[in-house]
Amino acid sequence: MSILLATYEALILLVTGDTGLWQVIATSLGVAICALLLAAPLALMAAYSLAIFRFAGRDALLALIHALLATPTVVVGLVLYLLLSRQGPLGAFELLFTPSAIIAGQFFIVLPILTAFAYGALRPIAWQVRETTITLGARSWQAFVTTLVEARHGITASLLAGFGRIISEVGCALIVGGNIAGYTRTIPTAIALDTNQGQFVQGIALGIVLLMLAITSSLLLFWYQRHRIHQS
Amino acid sequence: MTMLQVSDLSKSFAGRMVLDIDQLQLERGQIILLIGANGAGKTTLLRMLANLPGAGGTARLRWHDTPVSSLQAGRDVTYLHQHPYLLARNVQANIEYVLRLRDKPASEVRQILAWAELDQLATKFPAELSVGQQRLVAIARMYATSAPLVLLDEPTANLDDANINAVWKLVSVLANEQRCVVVSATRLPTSLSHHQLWRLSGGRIKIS
Repeated sequence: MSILLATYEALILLVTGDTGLWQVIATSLGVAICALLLAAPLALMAAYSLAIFRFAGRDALLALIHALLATPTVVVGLVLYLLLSRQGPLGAFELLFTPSAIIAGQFFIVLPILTAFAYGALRPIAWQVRETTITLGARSWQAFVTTLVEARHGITASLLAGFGRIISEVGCALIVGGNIAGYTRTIPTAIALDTNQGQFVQGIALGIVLLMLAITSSLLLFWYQRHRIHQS
Repeated sequence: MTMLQVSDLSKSFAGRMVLDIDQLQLERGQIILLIGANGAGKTTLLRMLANLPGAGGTARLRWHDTPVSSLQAGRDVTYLHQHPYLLARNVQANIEYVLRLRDKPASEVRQILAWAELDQLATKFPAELSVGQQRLVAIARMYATSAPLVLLDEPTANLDDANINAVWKLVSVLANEQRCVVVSATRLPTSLSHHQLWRLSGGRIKIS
């Protein structure tokens, strides 16, 4: 089958709303968004604390967060697999090969990305915004929320960068998810399987979706960064 | 009645005493000029009075004749940084932000803009304002807190004469409205009448 014909059939598959295909897309989006929503509050609080407070071990923590940016997702998957497997310390929760396991893996992958990007966005203004709002009567949590609002473009950029990273990651989802059809099969793991089995039409269809998601999040990231530069 | 009485105020930094002040009295309706050279400790003193995070130091305070450990920022006291930060929203929204914090009706924004003669700038964003206009907006925003003690850290630095006069006019109006305004400067301003002059040098204050 030629590539052009396969691509044509892939587009037909997408347009006609193939259930299996859209199930994979829904699983992918579901786990990525869950991981992002779970990691975001923690990352934002960590980034804010790092931007505001001076404490022992702060520099080491910053170095660790930046080092973790480069962690291969397959290593996160391996460690998580060992923890969640029957003999592992968290085996009793029976989470291995469930969407929750993928969410946990993506949570650990996206946490340092969100923290590092959000820290970069908050650092230049956090101290000034906090002091100003406190002199105007804000409580600590109100100063925190206002600082996030002030850095909204940078924070949105960090969310988009994080989403782009986990929506396309294959290593961790494959190891801890198990690539079970209709349950833990995500776009990248489905593409890997389809390619192995020679089912190129579905692989190309999913590839198109993944590409569109990645391009969209990257373009949004680009737009936000430009917007931020124009604002300052 | 004295609004705020400060005694035995001290602050050391790296083993060196930077502020060592016996007593200060601040009354409602007063303008107090705090004069000192760069690095004399004017900002440090104002930050301590404003109870800003990390200000440090120790002092005994009596607020309306009642001993207190510190003043509450935004309610009792408000402070203007030398380089004020305006939130990335328009002038009106900057003032509305304070009204929300202080549980005041948003409708007061018109009155505050009129008070500072900033009606024409209500929809402007910080980047569209001159340095002088930004300073006036920041003062209007402090005014919105209704805090009776207003501390201004070199509010006329880098301003032209017209803007300096506009700042002094607002300072006078604040005092007329029975607030106590402490203004720091490196040299004595010619066009501002004051009730107390604090000269800060070597960590000590000479009152005249």
